[in-house]
Amino acid sequence: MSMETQEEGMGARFAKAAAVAVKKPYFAVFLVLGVVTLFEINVPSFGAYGIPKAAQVMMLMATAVAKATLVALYYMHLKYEPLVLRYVPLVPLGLVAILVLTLVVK
Amino acid sequence: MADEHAATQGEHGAAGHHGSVWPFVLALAGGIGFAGIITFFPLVFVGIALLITGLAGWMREDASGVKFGEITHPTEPGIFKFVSVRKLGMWLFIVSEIFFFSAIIGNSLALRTRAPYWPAPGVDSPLNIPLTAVNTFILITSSFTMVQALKGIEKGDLRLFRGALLATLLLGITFVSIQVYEYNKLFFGEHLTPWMNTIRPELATFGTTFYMQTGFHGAHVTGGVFGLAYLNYKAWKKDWFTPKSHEAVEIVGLYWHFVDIVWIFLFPIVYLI
Repeated sequence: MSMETQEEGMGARFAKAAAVAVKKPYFAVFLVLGVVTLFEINVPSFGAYGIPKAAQVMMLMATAVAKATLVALYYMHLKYEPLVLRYVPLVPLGLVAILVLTLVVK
Repeated sequence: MADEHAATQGEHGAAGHHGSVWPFVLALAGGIGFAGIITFFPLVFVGIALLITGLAGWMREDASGVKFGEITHPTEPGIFKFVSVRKLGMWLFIVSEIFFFSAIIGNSLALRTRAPYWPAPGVDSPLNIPLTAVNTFILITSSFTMVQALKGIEKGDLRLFRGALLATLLLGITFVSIQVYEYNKLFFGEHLTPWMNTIRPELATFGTTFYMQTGFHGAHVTGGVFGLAYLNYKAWKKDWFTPKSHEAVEIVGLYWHFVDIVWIFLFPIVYLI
């Protein structure tokens, strides 16, 4: 591939990324983060309704993962980045899971 | 590949080389400082002095108007050729931070899961959940204003850009201020200290894990606040950032959102579970 063609390809790629940028749902993500956080704050009171602590922990971890994913995808723009950049933070998460499980599991 | 790299080199040009020694000085500061923690404590102060020198030098160099290229500039040959090298650098830094915080949170969870009671037998958590919930909303809002700032400069809307960036800075300062207030109440009011004290020795482990997790996060937020302050300084200078050249905004934003993500996990783990 010649340099000119390659540069044009890159230009088109960046132009496409810029075009996608105007459609980013920043406010919707903000609303979801706020509502989910409101839910999280109330989770500790679920014990009064017979929901066990383990279930509460699972709920809180699931909501935390969901919120973090939203921030990473939309606010950190991973959704709009080249695939290779998405793998940069994804790959170490497997190692992190091993580290945390090794430390936590008795 | 050699040709591609040569072409990239040519665009930057040997005379226009934009490398800086200051990131290396900062890395050296970190290395010496952390080595001091585990070997010879006075080295920590050497690390801090180097850190301040490195930051000041880097900012001075940047403020002098050194051109670091435009946001769409292709970078490395190979698989990362569509990714800006500075953005890639920030993401790799974030990866190292993921390991850092995972180790801290993992160790705290290890202690907690092995403890028969938490925070201690017959003791309720001294933490102020409503206050911290407010702080959580503040940090989430600051992430929103940060992306609004980026949106503003991308569209060339300087009013939105500057206003949102200033709002992000103020929200960051508010977060840190509330955390300082919380620490003050816990330290002097509840006698929750990072070490064992004679008044409430039963809270020693809880206190250590609490301050370690929230303290390191707070330190990162404080660092982000300094970054935002510098970004604001540049933003209010005419034509410093433009719709075509504003990568620093995105990169500081990446760091700020990462700090938000860490809190997204810390808040339920430390306060709600």
